[in-house]
Amino acid sequence: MTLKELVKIERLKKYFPVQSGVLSRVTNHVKAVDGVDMTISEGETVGLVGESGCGKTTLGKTIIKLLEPTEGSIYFRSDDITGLSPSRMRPYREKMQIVFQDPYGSLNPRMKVESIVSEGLAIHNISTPGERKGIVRELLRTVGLREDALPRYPHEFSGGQRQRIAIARALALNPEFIVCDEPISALDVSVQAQIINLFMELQEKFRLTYLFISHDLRVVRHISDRVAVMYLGKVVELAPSGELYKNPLHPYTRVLISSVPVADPDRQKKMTVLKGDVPSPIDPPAGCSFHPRCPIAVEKCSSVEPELRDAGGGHLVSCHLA
Amino acid sequence: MTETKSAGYWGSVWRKFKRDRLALSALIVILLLLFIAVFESFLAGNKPIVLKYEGHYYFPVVFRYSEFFGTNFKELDKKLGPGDFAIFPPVRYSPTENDLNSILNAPSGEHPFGTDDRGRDVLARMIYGARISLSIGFIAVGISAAIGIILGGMAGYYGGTTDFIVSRLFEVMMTFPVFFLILTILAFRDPSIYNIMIVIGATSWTGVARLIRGEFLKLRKFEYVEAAVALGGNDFRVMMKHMLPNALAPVLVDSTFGIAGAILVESGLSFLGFGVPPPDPSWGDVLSQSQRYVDFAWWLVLFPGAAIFLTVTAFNLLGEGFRNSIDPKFTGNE
Repeated sequence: MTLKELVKIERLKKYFPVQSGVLSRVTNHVKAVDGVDMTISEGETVGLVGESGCGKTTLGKTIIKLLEPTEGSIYFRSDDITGLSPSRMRPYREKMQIVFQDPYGSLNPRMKVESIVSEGLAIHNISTPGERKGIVRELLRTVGLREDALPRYPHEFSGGQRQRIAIARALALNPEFIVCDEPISALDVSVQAQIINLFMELQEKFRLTYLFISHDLRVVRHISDRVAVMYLGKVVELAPSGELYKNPLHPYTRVLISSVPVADPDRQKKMTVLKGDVPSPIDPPAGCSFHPRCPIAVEKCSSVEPELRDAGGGHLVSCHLA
Repeated sequence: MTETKSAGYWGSVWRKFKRDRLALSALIVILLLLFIAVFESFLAGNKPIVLKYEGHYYFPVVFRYSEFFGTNFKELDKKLGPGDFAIFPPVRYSPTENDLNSILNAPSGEHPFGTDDRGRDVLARMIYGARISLSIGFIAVGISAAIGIILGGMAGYYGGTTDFIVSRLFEVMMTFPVFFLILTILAFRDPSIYNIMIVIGATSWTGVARLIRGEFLKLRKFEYVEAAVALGGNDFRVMMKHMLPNALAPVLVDSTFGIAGAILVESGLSFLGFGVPPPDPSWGDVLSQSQRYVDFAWWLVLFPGAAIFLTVTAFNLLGEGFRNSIDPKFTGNE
């Protein structure tokens, strides 16, 4: 694997304003993504895990600029794409695509499969309308759908097939980087494995780079080269996936890994259960945002915010005690 | 997957709509009215549709012939030689043809709907009134839908300041009593049919604007809309291809009710004498003549009143049936 940087984000923040009162004044912000640094190399898959509401999806959408970041920078192949206007962003749209979580909501119900998949080609004026049909056919074959899907509407397909259509749409522009936003969590278990395998085949075939967002740790381990763990808008641990599962350093990661169910009724599991709820991302705790729920917190944790530092061998962690 | 032909959204709407008998009969009534409006001059008029005169064929309804200029075709009818013939419309009176010998005649074989105070045939006036009433309904609603879609769409899509300004604008518009606003405007402008269409259209777009704004606010968060943005689609494309088609169904329902409303407003204006200028016939205008003769000329009340009632009811029933057959969460599996 080459280690050429493809996507790099620096101190990326995305705050959503909270309005209240009769005048709808902005009184507060939801800090969905609160200062994330990350580098994704060409050809690798970075898994992104964390519980609901930790900002995984927001981070994914902000990286490909579906959302405008509040602060920080995004680089694609060392081009700063942070402040680009929609028209100047267009060439980069070809390179960065997204596959959404809900295959029922991500396909326009009024469009036929052919126009859904070929829309990117039409937008970027790639090939003639006549040639597009052939390209779409080829794409459908690539994602494992039959050609007779072309004139059909999305509602005629199952969830797994719809997700294949969504993948074909993302592939149409020949992208280098795809954000996979929980692409399998809405699917039946039996279909999940097929879609995961499809993602892995496509990666090999087209040399794709993925940011794979999921809350399913086993899936992420299976597909990822490196895994980032997010908590309350921050990345708390980022390590090669084998290393992360063998030797989790952050107490939150340990809790997450211990909560993965094991299909073995005889095995008594040592499971750490977190006390309390996730604090509000409007007003996150001072110091380490995990400290109110941390089983090993010390006094320093409530006042000093830990930096994400290298604990050796590319294993990054933000914890004073690790 | 079935092997049947893919039915799109409107196919599924139609399948459901077909089962609603009341709405279906309303649709038939409306189609009938449209037919009358389109072919009015073949249904009523004092010129023959086809005339064979001295060996030549003429179509006086469609073309004007200089040799017949100023001819009263009724007289000509009597002058027809052997082999000549004239086919007249079923109602042989023009809506603007005064006949001082038959003023305020009650319905009879000659005038099935009676005559008004100038001896004009009420049935002929109502047939020609259908075109005026329907075109006011459709065009006024077309204008209001266009304004509503553009303003509501911008408010819903861009949000923020745009939304604030547009929302205040339609809140202000909604506080006006529209009918009196229209009366006031028409008092300053001459009440031509076009001014009436424009005024009704320009004052009744708030409903559509609010609907579209709401739909756009909702659709903006849909993943297929985000996917279109991610593909690089510009604002216009995203709005026209992904949002508008999915937001249009409630607007069409609203517009159907809007047509009924516009027809009613036009009738009201004509009744008050601010409507379509004479001698052009409109249903409200026929009705307004009944004011003076209401004690005996019941036909001047009954027929135009029934026509307005039937049309407005038909459009309302159509809108109702349409609302019931559109599926807000279209999935295709009923």
